[in-house]
Amino acid sequence: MTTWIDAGCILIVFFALIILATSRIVGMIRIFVLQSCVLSLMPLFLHAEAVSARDVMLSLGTVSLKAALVPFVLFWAIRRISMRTEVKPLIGVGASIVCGALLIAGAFWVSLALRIPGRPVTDLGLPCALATVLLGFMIMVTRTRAVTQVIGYLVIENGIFLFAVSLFDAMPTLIEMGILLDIFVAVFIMAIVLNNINEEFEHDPGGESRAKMGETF
Amino acid sequence: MESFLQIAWPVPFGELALKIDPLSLVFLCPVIILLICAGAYGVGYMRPYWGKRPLGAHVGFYLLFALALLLIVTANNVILFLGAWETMTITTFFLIIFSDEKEAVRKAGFLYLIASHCATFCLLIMFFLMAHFAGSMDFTVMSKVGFPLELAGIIFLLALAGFGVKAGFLPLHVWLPYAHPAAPAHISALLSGVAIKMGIYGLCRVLWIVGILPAWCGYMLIIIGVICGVMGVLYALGQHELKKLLAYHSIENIGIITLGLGVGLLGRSYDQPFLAVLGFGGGLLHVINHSLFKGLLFLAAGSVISKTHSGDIDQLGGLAKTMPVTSVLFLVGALSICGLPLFNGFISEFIIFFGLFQGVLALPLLGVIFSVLGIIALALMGALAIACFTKVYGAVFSGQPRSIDSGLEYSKTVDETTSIWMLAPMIILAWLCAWIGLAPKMMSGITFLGGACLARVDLFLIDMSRIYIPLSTTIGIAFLFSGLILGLLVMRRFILGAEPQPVREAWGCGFTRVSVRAQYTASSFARSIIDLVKNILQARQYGAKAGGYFPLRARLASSVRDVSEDMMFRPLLAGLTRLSRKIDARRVLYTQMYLMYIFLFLIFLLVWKLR
Repeated sequence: MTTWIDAGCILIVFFALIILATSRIVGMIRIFVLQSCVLSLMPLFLHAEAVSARDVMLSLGTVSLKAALVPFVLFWAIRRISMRTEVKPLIGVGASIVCGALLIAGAFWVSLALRIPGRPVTDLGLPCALATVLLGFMIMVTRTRAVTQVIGYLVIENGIFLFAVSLFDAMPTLIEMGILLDIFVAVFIMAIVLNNINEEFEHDPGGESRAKMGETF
Repeated sequence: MESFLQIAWPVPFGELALKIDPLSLVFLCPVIILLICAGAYGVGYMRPYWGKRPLGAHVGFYLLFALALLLIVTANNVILFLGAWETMTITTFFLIIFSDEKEAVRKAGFLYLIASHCATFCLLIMFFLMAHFAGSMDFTVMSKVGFPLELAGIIFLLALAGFGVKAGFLPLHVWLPYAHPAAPAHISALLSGVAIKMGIYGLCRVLWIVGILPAWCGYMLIIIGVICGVMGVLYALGQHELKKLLAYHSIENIGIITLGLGVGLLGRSYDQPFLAVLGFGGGLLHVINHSLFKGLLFLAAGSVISKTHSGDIDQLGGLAKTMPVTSVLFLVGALSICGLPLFNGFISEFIIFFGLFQGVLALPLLGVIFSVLGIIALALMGALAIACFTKVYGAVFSGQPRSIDSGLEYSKTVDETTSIWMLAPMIILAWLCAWIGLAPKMMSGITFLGGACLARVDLFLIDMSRIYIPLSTTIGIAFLFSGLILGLLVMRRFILGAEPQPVREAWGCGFTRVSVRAQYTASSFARSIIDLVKNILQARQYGAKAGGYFPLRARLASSVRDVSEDMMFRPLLAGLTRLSRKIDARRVLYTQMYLMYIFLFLIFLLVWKLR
């Protein structure tokens, strides 16, 4: 069973790297959906002998929120402000991947020395969670659109969720629920903000600023 | 000898613990006297503003300020002390910016606020270091703890930096020459008389708490005293504005006080109780004396300014004829500040001198060198102060108004219609100056008690007659001298009769129709001394080139640069501004850049924590 969990961890980091290297917003969201699906399967593999009701609940909650509701809101948002393509990222794709690789290496190096309470389910859980958080941050740093910021934030949240899963026995369900609620509220707020940005720019008669629409602040 | 009041208080680590020991008593005297006098003076001084300005706020802040001062000198708990200290700082700020429609006043107040808060930063660190080591926030408990020498040295340096800003030690005094002229007269008197003394009080309190200090602390205090004293009076000589000049004199007197404290500290370090009591006692007596005469001088200056609407010494003149009472009171203050016999400044300077000579006899070689340095510096300060106040009194009260445009007109209108509210406090202060000068036993007794408290010795074990006998001899001679002068005055009246003498122009040298502009001005009077030290003062002169045989117009302006302001703080500020501009230029408009900074910092924390 650990094999599956390890594979899931690797996949999650891999997807985060792909999001970092993708320039189209729709593509980013789709890959995020994939990542969330993988993540939502993780609790099912935690207790090999008997899948508890709690695991199933968690899995279902994650899928419905991260792979359905959040992408739906995001797609709705970009449709509202009719923005499909990402502007050029601050750092080129190649450089982003190199930085991402360095970050992953760094995360592994750091987690070697990190001491966590309780016995982790797998050795890969912690470094992968850390790497995902760092990559999410990298996405936020290198992209200029509001939607991409949200995606970066969601990737960070996925990393934190992965961290929670890898420490499953030490982490109460309440905290996981809290994380899920956080994500939902954050995306909700972002959608409202995006909507407001859109309305603000619609009043602009010159239309010159339309090009910048959706760009953060 | 001590009385306590302790009330539990829900403030964390705080306690409403008040204590009056001899040291508090010494500082309570000037605080109470000056608060009452300046308050009464303020009633008269603020009369023109009635109904025009919100005086209620001013009075409220005044009372709060008074409360804060009383709490500072009696607080026995770190939190209470710091709270009172901050209250004093903030209320002082509001009192200074009373005339806030003027930009200079706002700037002065702001400068004061910034300087004070930088100081409080040092104080916080210092007090928490002490409290941490002693395990208590209570001053009395702290004083019973033996601090290690290195820690004591650090505490001493922090106290110098923190309290030095308030007291106006030389490189840190920048706020002082701006805040004093900006405030109303009675507030200036309080600032100079009491508020800056709180810096000295804090320093004394720290010296009291930390019983054993390294020997270099005493030497350092002496050096600070010498520099403050000499530079303060030299800067004062170069000033053209009455209140600014008095403000620089405050720095000089703080120097004298610090010199006394330094001598006392040396005495304590080298286990010479008599020397310690002399030094501390002399310094503390000068605290009281300076409050009295500087308060008096500021109040008198306030009367002059409120009548003539000008503080420029080079414009004033001839006020002795129109404001005789104020002029006599100012003269009393001037004689006191110069340290001349019959007045109180003499007594404290005499005790400090005596202590310095005692130091020459009792201390090791290094101490002898510093004592001699102190003696020379103190003598120099006295001489320069006399020159400076000759200049002020001569220019403001003698001669004729020096400005043609505004001066002549006011000389006719100005008269001694100062209200009793303004005159009475000045008379009380002048009387106190003379009382301490003529009968110093009581006040010096109190300050010697304070000195013994600082020196941590019992006053009864020390033979204080060693100082009282020469002191009384000197006062006796001074009495004789004043009797001689009085006799000469009586003789003059006897010979010349009672009929009024014809009034001639002062310094007229026999000419009758001299232009008022041909008089000595304050600047020209001070110039001979300023020229001697113009490299130290960075004194500059502009203009004064008159061409041709019948020059129509010539201008002369002179200024003295405050070295520590112009060469330390302004370049520092300019550097900071440049640096922040540079950072500002680097600032990227993207939020992403800030995110990246956070990101990098997070990674740094992660890696740093792991090592």
